[in-house]
Amino acid sequence: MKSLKNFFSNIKNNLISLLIFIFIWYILSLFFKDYIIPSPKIIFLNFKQYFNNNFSINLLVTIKRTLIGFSFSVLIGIFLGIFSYIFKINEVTQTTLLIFQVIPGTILGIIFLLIFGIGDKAPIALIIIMTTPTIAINTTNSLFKRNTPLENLIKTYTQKKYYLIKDAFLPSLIPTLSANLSLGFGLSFKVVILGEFIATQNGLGYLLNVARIYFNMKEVFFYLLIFVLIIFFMQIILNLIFFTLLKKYLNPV
Amino acid sequence: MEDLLLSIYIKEKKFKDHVVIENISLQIFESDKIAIFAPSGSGKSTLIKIIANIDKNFSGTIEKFYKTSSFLLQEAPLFWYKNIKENIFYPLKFYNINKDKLEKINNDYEEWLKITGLKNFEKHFPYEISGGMKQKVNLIRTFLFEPQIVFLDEPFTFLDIKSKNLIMNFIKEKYKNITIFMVTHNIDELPDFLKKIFLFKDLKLSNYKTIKIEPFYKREDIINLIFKE
Repeated sequence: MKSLKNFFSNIKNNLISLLIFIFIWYILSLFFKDYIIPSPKIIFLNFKQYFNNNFSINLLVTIKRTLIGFSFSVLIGIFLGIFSYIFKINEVTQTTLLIFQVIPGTILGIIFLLIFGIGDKAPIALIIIMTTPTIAINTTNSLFKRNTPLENLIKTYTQKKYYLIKDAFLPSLIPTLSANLSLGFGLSFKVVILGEFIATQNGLGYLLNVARIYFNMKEVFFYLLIFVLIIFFMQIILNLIFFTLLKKYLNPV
Repeated sequence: MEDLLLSIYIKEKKFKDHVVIENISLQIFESDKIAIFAPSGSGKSTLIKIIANIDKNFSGTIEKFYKTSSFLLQEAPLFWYKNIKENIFYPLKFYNINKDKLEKINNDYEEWLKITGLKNFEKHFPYEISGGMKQKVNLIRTFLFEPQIVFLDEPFTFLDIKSKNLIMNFIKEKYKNITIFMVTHNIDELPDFLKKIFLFKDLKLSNYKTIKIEPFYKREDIINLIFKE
């Protein structure tokens, strides 16, 4: 019951954030013409105009690319993070990964376009390159904050690594996993839009690019609102997992 | 003649260039109730960690003849994602406990909850209880499964006087057959059920004295003996 209460409390907070975002957008629209920053009211009134088959298909394509790229990033990032920690090469790995983080996404997007051509692979590769470093670095840093006294306690009962991993090591990674998934998904989504801008002929990023070319700011802001709603719903799903099923692992230590 | 449970000889244990323990030889027999009384920083916790196999970086030998043991470490860690009851019963899977013994353990558990005042806190998590309550949880976890020998590092830290006395008396009455080896720097932590106290200035052989405790000694007698030395 308490965890459901936390979950609903979290949805309430997310809704408040969404309302604050729309309010700020509304205030800004009062100072600019419709063709620069259209009012949220206009976008909401014209919603039906943009929702069509074409939109649904492109939405699914973007979500598919995001989830594939994000999943690979999480797996590779966590593996790299643990690998760096165990073999004590975290300083080398972190510096290398930071280099990838700093390279502008547009340049990488063009490189992947030339390598993979137009299609799914370029945006997915872009997500992996740009999201993995954050996840890997977070993972390594969390391993340095391992609960050593707890591991020592387990060692007084058994020397089997299985219990150390199951009862101390993995539970201590869950708070980091929560942060990684939250940060990582947002970043992945942003990157896939960038990738679709440059290297595809479908997806929300492509539609956004077309709207931008025709200076259709109402459509641009419509897609902006969709992006915000996608992140909002993804956050709800993550909170459902972490504030209900895995809540106890997020307790203060 | 009591059985030998542990024979330990530490030739040397150092951290970087600083020698912490040197030429310590200890033998612990069944039903012994021994304390090492030494100042802070003298290597007491290091000794416990060596016996517990947590610290393997030393020169010397350890021979263990006991089947079951339990350790109360100085950091007193609890699993942050388990409630109090789950924390206390965590070691259950590591002991071979039959149905009859499990029933006795459950009864003892209820007694412990009464003595420590934790009855209403079973479902609480560690972050919801105080330092003193956490120490009580650790004490219950250490003694509940009646291992052959328990090793205690500063076991009564954070406890108020009333709780400390209640728990010491409870252990004295209930666990007469358990071998106890404890280390502390706090004179108030020395229970009156001890049979022997080793007084160390630091954990090097040349620097210790032994105080033998007679069964009729009270705590004030033990404290006076220590001050005399």
